[in-house]
Amino acid sequence: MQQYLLTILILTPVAGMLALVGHSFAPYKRETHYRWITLGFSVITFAVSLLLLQAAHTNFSSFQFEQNVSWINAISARYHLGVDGLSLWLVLLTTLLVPISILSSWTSIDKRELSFYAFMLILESAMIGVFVSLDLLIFYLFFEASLVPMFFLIGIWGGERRIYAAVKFFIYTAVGSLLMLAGIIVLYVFYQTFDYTVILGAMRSGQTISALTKGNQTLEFWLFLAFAFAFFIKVPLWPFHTWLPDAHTEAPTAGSVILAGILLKMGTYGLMRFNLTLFPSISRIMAPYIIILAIIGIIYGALVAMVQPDVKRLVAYSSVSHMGFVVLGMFSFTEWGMQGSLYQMLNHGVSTGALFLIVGMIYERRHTREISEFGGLSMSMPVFSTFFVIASLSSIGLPFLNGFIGEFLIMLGTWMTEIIRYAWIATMLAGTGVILSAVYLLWMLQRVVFGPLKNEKNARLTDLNYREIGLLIPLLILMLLMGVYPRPFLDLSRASVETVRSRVLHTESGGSYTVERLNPQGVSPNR
Amino acid sequence: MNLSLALQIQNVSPDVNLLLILPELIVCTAGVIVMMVDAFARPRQRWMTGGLALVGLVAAMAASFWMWSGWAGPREAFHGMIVLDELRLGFTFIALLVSALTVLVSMVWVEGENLPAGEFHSLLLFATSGMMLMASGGDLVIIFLGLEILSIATYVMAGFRRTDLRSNESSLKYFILGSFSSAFLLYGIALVYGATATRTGLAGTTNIAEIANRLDVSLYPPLLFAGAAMMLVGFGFKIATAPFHVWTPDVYEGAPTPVTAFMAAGPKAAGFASFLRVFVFGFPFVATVASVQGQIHAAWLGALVVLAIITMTIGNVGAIVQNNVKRMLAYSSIAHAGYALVGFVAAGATGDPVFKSEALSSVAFYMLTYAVMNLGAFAVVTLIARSGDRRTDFEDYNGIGFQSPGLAFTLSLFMLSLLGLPLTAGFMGKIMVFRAALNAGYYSLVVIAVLNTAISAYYYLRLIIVMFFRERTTSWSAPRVPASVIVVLIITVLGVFYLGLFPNRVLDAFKTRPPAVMATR
Amino acid sequence: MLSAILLQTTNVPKTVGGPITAYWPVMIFFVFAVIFPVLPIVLGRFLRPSIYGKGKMRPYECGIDPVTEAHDRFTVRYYIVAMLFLIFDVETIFLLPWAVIYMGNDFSFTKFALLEMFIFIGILIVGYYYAWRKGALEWA
Repeated sequence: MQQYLLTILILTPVAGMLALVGHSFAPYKRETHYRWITLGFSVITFAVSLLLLQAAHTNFSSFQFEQNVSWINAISARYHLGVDGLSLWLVLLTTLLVPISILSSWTSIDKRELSFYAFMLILESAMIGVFVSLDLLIFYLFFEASLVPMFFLIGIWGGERRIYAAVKFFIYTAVGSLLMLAGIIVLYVFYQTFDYTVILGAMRSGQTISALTKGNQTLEFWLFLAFAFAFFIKVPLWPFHTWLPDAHTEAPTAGSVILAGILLKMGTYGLMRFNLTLFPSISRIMAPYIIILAIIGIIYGALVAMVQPDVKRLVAYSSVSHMGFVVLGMFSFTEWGMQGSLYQMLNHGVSTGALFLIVGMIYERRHTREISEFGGLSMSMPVFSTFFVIASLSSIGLPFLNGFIGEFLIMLGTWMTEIIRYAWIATMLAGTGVILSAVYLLWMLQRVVFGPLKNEKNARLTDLNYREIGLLIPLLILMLLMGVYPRPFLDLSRASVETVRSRVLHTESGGSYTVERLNPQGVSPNR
Repeated sequence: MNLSLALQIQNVSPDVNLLLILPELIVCTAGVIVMMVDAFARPRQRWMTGGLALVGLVAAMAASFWMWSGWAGPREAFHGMIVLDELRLGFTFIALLVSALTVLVSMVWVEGENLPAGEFHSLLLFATSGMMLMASGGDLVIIFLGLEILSIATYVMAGFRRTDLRSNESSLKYFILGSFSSAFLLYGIALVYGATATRTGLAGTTNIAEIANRLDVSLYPPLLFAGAAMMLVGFGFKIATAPFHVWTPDVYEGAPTPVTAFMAAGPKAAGFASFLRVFVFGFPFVATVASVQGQIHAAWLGALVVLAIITMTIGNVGAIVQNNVKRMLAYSSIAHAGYALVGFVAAGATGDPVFKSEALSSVAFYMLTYAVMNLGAFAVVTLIARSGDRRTDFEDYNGIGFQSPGLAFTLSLFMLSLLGLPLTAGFMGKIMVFRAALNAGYYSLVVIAVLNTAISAYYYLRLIIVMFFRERTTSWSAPRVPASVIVVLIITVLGVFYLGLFPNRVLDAFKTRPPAVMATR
Repeated sequence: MLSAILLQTTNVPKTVGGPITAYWPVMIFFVFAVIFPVLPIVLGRFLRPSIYGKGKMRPYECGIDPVTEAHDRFTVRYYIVAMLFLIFDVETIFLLPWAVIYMGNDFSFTKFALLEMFIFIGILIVGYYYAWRKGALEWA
């Protein structure tokens, strides 16, 4: 049972999809049945995923619930799944957000329900697969498989420019991941296996890529780039972000929630899981440049978000900014920074997911997202406004809400980092991003929620119904919980993050670079 | 010296082993029977011909499976003219599968178009036997013979809709350029034959394994180069590599859709089978570069790398600008020939038997995956095109996604598989080919292939976009799907997933087993 | 000597060259073939008296005058018959090498060769019947 838990987790949504298709042939079928079936299966998936927590006593310092069987003998590809502190919370985030986004599509999706819910379930299965696969080929398989349903979700149920957005999304991500595929096969050629743990073991025992290429780091460098390119596009790191505003804006609400909440995390997760551990020495060399890109992204995303006339586009650009934080923290290579980075992934999923849901709700009522169309919603829709304000504050990073913990840890980690020389400058710049996020979100709130009720149409809007409140409540609870009591979350990821961190920092390669040399006089508070 | 003495010197005792060509014989006999049934049966009974053809193909498949699993006898016959190895069996299987699926697709179609069913099916069977001979020939003459049997039947099939000008154009173009390429090939064979005469007085040879032995003792090395180059061009035409691809789009567009399906999957695979055998075994890898053999090997391998790059790029770039689905698929088939050439290069570049076997099986596997998804796609295109191939433009697919969801989703699956998305056969095929090339050290070639895959995403997705993301403005009546086509779609969809998820068994079967080093005497 | 050149058998010492030199007889033959028609015409040009008249300029010295266009259309049956003739005629050529080899003491081989020829002729007959049934031989 333990061994098959992850497979069950992946297959439950698939079973749901098959049930949907089967139901479409039933004589007594009704369009409304589809959403109930889908909701049922996604809730079951969530319940199953909670079983993962029973291994909490191990602190997830190593892979739990491992399943490792041979898949393709000819190329020794394996079906190897496992979950550790890095992936645990992301899996849970996935299984939580999917039922919520299905619930959010309850009335907004009124055509082609069968296909919509089928794609949602396939997507869920692929996303879970990405986070739990430990074989590079399987990982790639799920990574790409998540692309297709999202492509359809944007393209069929999206907004005005949905075709443009869907194609842009697909081509960008596909190009990146194809390069990763080339990298994966090159790794295979060296190690004759796709199994991540086996490759890592071989590297630990001295068979690093630069050792295999006789001290030449060029290939390792290209491999790092091949992997990183795929993940940078997915994250998206500036300047690879241009697909994101289009895709987020045009996608249906559920699609945006999943896209922002989980698909972007596949990029940062991939960076942390694969780039940092497989190519540690190159990661150290590249870290300053990536940090620069991340900081540019933080400030650029915030500045562009500020001038957006469209609420959804504003939230989309705020994602660019927030994901910049995640990358910044990760590449600080400090425990605080990396823990904060992981924590911020969850925060972003929760709060940006909530923001997209809220924007979707108002769009359903007004069929517009122009900020100038709104104003004074707090009078006509008090409950809605409350939720909107709390989600925004969480996204800004107000203390006692989840965003604060993540951003604080990341900034602390960046301040303490030894990987770049003038870390305090980087921290200050990142801090500017926090301030800017407060500016654009509060300004947006002022124009949408507060102020006088200028527009006649806004006066007659109905407030949230119980379904909508119900689907926001779990996210709200999470925001508060993660804001005041982050310990259980951080505890379970600590050991895994520490493994990655020590792997990055203490792996010598080519003998030309050590952390100590970069910052010879600095006191290291982490060790 | 008189004639009788000369005859005594020659070894005339025939090395006959009919069991070794059993699948070919079965298919030929089935073709003759179908022809006779067509001639003698009353017009009403001619629908039987399709069924008979299927029976013949299935029997041949059974025979080849038998040879696959438990063949203990000699692995060559007719003085090395016919060889038995996994390369042959793999491609024989592909030929039979393609043919059987084509029969299933065309069974109802051929009646609906008022075409002579019996002739169509017997031509198809003869073409299949030609493909099988191309895969099993260990001698240039047999390969040429197979090629001609295949080509002549295909020329006729391309022009099968006699009253349709596009079909006529397709047939004529195919005939002229096909004969042209056959001439190239034949000239190449002749030159190689002439060049393999030795100083010791041995006459030239057309046996592939023997050619490899004679390369370094050849009397006329320049002729060898010329002959190899001619054959390269000839095969290049047959499998539609750029710059010898110009006939492909016109021919594929004009030919009746089931015939296009057959042409894109079958003859291309057969061309690869003999192309592989002639070059990988006839002009094999050698460690000493200075020798004649080494020079020839380096020359053709280099040429092939260039061909692969040009073919992938031209195929993919050409496909982007097409407005006709069949033409787009034609360009995509050019691109896929380029990807398969990547595996070919890998097979040629190594002397290690294990790597070579892996690379060869990767090409065979690639052609199998391509055949499965391509036939599936063309089956749907046939249905949507209706009688007379009237609706083959992208416009005609506008918004049919939710009008005919079954067909549209199936076609999308094939498009994604052609694109090489994970979980599908196309992905596994690409993985195998790329891995072989990387094993042989062709990093940049693989990177170019990967970038090409990214380009191809654009036009494969375009069809999906047209079907699902646009709204239909004109009326649409869903085509009736005949039972035989449903069978084809089920087989191909399952095949796409089976080859994409559990390719173990097929890969093992396609791989050469260690003791039987191929085609050595 | 000649058979050695033509068949290029193994036991012949290196008296002749490779494939190119082996073509010498053919080339000589070709030269003769060119000389043979050209020489009488050239000779005739100088020997005969040149007298032109209406009768001399006609394409045929006897028969009917061609009065129609040279681009005449033939009925398609001519082509079918011509093709059928060609096919069967070419296939008959295979009988010759078979007949040449069909001797010797090896009974099992002769038995085999006889069987093979029956199969070959059988295939021809099938083709012949097919052409018949399809009406290729009907003229009216």
